Amino acid sequence: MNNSVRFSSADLADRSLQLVALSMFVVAMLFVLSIVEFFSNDTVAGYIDIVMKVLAVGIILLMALLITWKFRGMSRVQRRQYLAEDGFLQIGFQRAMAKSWMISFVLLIVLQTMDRLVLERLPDLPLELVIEAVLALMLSIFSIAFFIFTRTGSDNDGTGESE
Amino acid sequence: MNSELKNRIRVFRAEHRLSQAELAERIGVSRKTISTIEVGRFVPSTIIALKIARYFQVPVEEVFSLKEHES
Repeated sequence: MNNSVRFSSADLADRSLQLVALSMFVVAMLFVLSIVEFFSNDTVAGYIDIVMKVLAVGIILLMALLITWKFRGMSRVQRRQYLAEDGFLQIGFQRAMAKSWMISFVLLIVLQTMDRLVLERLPDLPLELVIEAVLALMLSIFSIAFFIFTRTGSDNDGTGESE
Repeated sequence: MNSELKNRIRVFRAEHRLSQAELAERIGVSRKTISTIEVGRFVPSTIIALKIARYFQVPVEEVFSLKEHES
């Protein structure tokens, strides 16, 4: 008898969404490291560069895993159907995207209105770094919000009757 | 007045001797979707609610009902 865990296409789609969110968090960390690297001395910057390369390889591996292993069992029609499905994780994904946009927008507006208190005290930053900071903010809020929204407690799969 | 969506999916599952994973596969959603609907954590879309009711061959009101709370 085969006792191995078998996932349906919908379960695979759920897991691929989790992988996408995890990848987004890793990308956010890459942006953060890039900002830290800018302010670090040469020795530390060298180490950060190595960590960034490892993380970049990690993201590529995650994406390869997503495309080959997770999507392998799905036809194109199934993929489209299940990724567009209005299930628990799909709704969590949409909520996390909305939350990430909202918080980033409010934070940027607050920063802009407080420019004399905060922004003027910062050293001149290259535009690339500012863009990386905003992207890191949005991506990290998104991925953290997604994992909070889709966190579940006990996963009881019993067939027992109770109400 | 607040409304809460109650459901009897667990009862229907027990009657049909189905696990969450089996029900999920038969109506084309993930097991997590079924488990979170069952415990009231996730309010399903009309389409998912209708698919569940259709699978058990009962009107949707027999599976889902609204409970009103005075706030």
